[in-house]
Amino acid sequence: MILFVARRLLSGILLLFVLSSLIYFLLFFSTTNVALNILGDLATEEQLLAKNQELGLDKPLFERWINWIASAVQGDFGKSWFKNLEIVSQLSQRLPITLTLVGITILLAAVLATALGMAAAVRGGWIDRTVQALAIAGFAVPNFVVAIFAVTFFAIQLRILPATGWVPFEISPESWAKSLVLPVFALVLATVASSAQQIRSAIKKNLEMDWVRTLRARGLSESEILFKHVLRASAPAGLTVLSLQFVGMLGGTVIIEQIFALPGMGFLAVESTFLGDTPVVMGVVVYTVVVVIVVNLLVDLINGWLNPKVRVQ
Amino acid sequence: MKSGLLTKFSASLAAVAIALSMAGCSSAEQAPTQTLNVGQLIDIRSWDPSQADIGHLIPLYQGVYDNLVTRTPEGDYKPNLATDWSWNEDNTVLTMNLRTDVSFTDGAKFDAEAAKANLDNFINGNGPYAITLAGVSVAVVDSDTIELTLAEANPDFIYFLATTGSFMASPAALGTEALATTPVGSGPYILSPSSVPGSSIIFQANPGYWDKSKQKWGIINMVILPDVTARLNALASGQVDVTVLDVQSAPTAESAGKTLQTNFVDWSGLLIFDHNGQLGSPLGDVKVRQAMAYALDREAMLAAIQQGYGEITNQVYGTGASAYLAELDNYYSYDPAKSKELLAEAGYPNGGVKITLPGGLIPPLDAVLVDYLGAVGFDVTIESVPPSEYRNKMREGAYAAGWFQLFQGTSWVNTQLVATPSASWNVLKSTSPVIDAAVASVKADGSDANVAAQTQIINKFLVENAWSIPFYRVPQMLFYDQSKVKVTNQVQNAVPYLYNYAPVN
Repeated sequence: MILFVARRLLSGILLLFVLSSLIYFLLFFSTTNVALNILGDLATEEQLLAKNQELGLDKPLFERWINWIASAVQGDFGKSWFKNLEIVSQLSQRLPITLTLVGITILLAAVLATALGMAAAVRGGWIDRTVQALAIAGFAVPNFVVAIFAVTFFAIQLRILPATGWVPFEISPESWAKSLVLPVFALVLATVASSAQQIRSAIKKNLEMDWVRTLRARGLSESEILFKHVLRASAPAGLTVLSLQFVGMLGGTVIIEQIFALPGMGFLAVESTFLGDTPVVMGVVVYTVVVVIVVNLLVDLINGWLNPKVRVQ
Repeated sequence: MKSGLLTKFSASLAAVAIALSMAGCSSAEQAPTQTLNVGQLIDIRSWDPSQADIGHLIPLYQGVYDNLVTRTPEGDYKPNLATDWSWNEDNTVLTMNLRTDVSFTDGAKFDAEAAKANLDNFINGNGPYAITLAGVSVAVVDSDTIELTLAEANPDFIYFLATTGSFMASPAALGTEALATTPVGSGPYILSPSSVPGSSIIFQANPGYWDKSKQKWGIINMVILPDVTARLNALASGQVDVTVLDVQSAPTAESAGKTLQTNFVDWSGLLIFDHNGQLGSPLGDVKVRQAMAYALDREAMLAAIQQGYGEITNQVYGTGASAYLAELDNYYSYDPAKSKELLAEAGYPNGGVKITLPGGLIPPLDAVLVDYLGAVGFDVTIESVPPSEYRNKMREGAYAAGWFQLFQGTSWVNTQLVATPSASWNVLKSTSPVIDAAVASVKADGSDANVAAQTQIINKFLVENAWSIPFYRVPQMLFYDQSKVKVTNQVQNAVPYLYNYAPVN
């Protein structure tokens, strides 16, 4: 098991190095006259030169990359070019917001998708057909459309939920919960739709296996077979889909965070990309890649715990 | 008996008078309690006053800092931390007397030393407006007097002090890293710890503030909403009371019962860079530029691109500037025949005038330009440029001309933005004896009358020579809830100053 984790961690670190270096060069090759963007129309040549020196942009690109890697390894991503704030402190404020949004969505989706998938596989009939129709609808309707409808109805018409904004839990747990309802609702529909379909298929397939027949022959109750054995055997399929959804959602929240003005990673990524604040974009990239690696590792570990064959592989 | 009645009546009158005066006192001293929620387009970059900016950012600095001079909504200057000021004979030395009753929120006292420390911080801070005070030396005359010596006369110097140049922070906070995130000023409000970075900037009334007339709200919540859909939703749902929207979202806001207030601070049009043909483009010929100006149907463009929100203009100066001349707004009417005639005179009787413009920011506008200019003989190529690089590409001189939306500041600010050889948007540093003479005259005599006279000469020259080709003035579209807030526009600023919002009740 330790070897398994170590191997995964090593490949993750390699992936992080390759990806971040590649994006570093791509971003810096496409960056033009940042000093002008920062100082504006009235800036003189002397001011621009001074700003470039202050930002270290007068140094060769390779030297800047080496310096960036050396600092990043120590957890220092430097300062934002535009806000003169430590990037790590900005990221540590933003990441929890995105993780809260995505985490709650995934948890909710896991519960709902499992219930729906199980009902569709076991009961069949109209429930099955409804789940399949929902899956198609979930894929077809983009989450930003759901978001706009939800805001129009719940925030503008009924005025029972806030249209935008984020309230930290420590300031008001009630407002915090309210600020999350609509964004989670917008994200969860598509996630439930696709995951329920996968879970349904896995449960249905497992219910037809010989070992289920053997369990029935041994006299185990249907609920015991379903909840204790079939669900566990079907979990890896659902887990894989949910982990993919989690990773996809880290990017997908960009639009949702914009619509609901949630100051998360997506919001920061858009703002920094638009401004050309490359160090912040690099920080967002590294944090996102790390989250993806950690999530994948956790999913592998859980899969290994659920299914011993994975550990052997 | 009579005297007794009189005495009683007098006593009653006195009691009423005392009661009224007490009521007056208590209402004057009563702290404001109402809350204003503003949908703010841009988040603060740094609370360090040396990084102050105009437009959407200046109200944030006005919340927590005082400046030496303030600007009325109409653009006049009035005392603030400076009680009065005077210039020497050649307008190069400014003497300012300062208030003696102001303290910062950390307890430090505002005096001449504090003012000098702040002005030096601004001059050396390499902020976006540091250039406006470049070369200025600040001397402390006594505890409440400073003297600012300029390298040369600057007619807009007080304007710069009244906008970005003189926000005052506690001297103890200057130069510290903390100042970027934690302002320490003497302004009408204090940044509340309830503010959420990236989401909301909450100001709460500063209890010891010296000028209660500028403190009209108990709390001002600036909700950071860069996305226009989010701003529209927040306004329609009542989450914010006032915000800026655009032409696409305006009808929805109007149907939700919100009130529109327009403020014209930008012009939209073609910036011409290659006035002297340095890039080898046909735009070096004034007749080609004029042909371009006559080829455009601005009324139709305003209706198609701006849904009618805007005002036709041919000049880069706004109505609030002394250089503005109303007769220049329609100097170039839509006249394709005249345009073709001018092209023929310029040596293009069969058209084929090749022009490459950067594009991609507003695709419908690109199409309209290709269409109108193509109809008279221009062969227009639009090169798509990523939004983040668009401005820089033009500033680097990559194009002979390009569409842009530019600020309409004061007469002198605008002149330095587009006309002088060192102007930021005179990218190829074009010169003209007319502009040079007018600029020299302003530098010798910076009086309001001479600035107006000389910049009007420059304005006429720019229009007649199609130095730029403006289409229309575009408004900032401020929507607000008129049952809650009264809003006064601020001349030459995208949004009202923070002091321009007042409760209805």
